[in-house]
Order: sequence, then C-alpha cells, then structure tokens
Amino acid sequence: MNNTADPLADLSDDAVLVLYVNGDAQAAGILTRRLAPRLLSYTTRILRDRAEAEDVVQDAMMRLWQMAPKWQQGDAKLSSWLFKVASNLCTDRLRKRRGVGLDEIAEPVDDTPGAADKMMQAERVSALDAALATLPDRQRQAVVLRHIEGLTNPEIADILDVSVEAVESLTARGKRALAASLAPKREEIGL
Amino acid sequence: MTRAHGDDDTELAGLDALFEDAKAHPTDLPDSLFGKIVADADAVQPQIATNPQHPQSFWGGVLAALGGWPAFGSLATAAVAGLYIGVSDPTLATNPFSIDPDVEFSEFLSDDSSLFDAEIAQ
Repeated sequence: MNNTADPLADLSDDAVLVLYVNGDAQAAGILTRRLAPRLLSYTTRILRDRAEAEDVVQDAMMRLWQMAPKWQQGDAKLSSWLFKVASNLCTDRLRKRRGVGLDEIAEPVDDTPGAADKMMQAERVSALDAALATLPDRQRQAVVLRHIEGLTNPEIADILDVSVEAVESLTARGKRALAASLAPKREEIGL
Repeated sequence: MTRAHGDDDTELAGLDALFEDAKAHPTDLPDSLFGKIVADADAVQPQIATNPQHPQSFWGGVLAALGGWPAFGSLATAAVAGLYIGVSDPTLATNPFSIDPDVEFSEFLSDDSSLFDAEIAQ
C-alpha cells in the first residue's frame, strides 16, 4: 500500500532525492507518497479528467527522476518545481483541447456516492470543484495553487511564468467568479 | 438590483471555508499510479549510477589532470615568472643591482672630490 508511514520523515524532500540518486531503494517510494497526491489533486482540478491527470503526474514524476542528479539543493522547493512541470504539462494538454468545443469537455467526474449519502463537507468540495471548472484555465490554476495547495504568490508567479501582480489579479478575479458561480447554491452548501 | 458589499464579503469568506474543506480532502493516490511512478523511478535509477549527469568538461579534465586549483595556481605563478625572466635583461640574472654593465661605480659618485682637491691645494 502507498499509505505507509514515512520512514524518513526527518529528512527534507531534497535530502531524500539525494538518497535516490545514491541508489537508495526506498527513496522513490517515499518521495512519491509525499509529492504525488498533491500533484494529483492539482492536475485533476485543472484538467477535469482523472485519467489525463494521472498521466500528467506520472510524466512529471518521471522528469523528477531524470532531473534528480542535476538538482541543486536550496535553489527551489522540489514541490514548487513539480507544480511548475505539471502546470506546463496541463497547459499543453489544455491547448490541444482548444480544437474541441467547450461543451465537449467532460465535466469533472464525480465518482463519489450520491448526495444523500455524502457528508456536507464532501458536498461542499464537489460544489467548489464544479465551480472551479467554470473558471478560465489560468484563473483556475492560480486559485487552486494559492488557496488549496497553499503556495505563495511569488511561487505561483514562477510556476505560471507571470508577475506577482498578475497572480494577485488572477486569484482576485477567480475568487469573485467562484463566489458568483456558487451563489445559487449558497443555502444548499451552507455558504 | 445592486448587491451590497457585505454580501460579497460574506461570499468570499464562505469561499475560504470551502478552500479549507478542499485542503482537508486530499486526493488519494491510487496504488496503480503509485506502482507506475515507482517503476519509472526504478528504471531510471541504474542509469544515473552508470551515467553521471555531471560529465567533466574539457577544461575540468585539464584542471583535474594538473592536480586541481592549488596546483594550477603554482603553475600559473611559475609560468609568469618564467615569462618575466625570458623577456628581461639577462645581466639582471648575474648582477641584479647593476643598471648598465658599462657604467663604472665611480661614475655614480658626485664630482665633489675636485672641490676637496682644491681645498688641499689652498
């Protein structure tokens, strides 16, 4: 199972990557458990297609393994680097979809049980994901990175290759659009 | 109807609560995906060991062959000294205090001796 406790919890991601480069057999699994779930949450929200999101995560992690010997410790956070790689891969896929009509893009797959069985919190998250899906790509990326993944504005600016001011604008407009999109459901989801 | 600012603020505050819910519901990593990622890592790992990603450059190789920066520093000093010796006047090597070998030491003395001689004559 991949939910086992992290035996190297005291070590930073950078340090575990060094172990991987030095041939440690456990390091890859530990880094995957630490980094891949957040990446999958992010790519699923951005791409709105679980299979594609998993492909992007696998691809991003592959680039991590290949880049590992060149990684300069302390230059950047490994997680930020991965978000940047995943963002670029998502952007490539979203661009390829441009030829496809918006109506043909699948809505986020809700594979959770029916609303009656769900806890209120899960319903709220589903509603949020549905509202996020209505945002333009860049706004969605900025809002998810800032407010769900908890990255700083400078980190997001680096990931999206825009200025910090542009990130602030994207997140502000994104939040207002989300609020407007969720307004009809305020009572239902307890906003 | 224009909506009050307060409504917007309430909605944005409600959004923050939604974001917190989303953070509390991280996506589980499927075992199948975990297996694929680790299999990729296991495939790449031996290549890293056999193909170091920091190949030595030509000048890096030269520097290493010389014995590193300390040895290079000594070599550079010796080279500069050799160049100086090569282009400078060779007599400096035998008489470093002489400016011109044809000039007698007495020529450096002032001609006050003639005054001395005159005083004696008086």
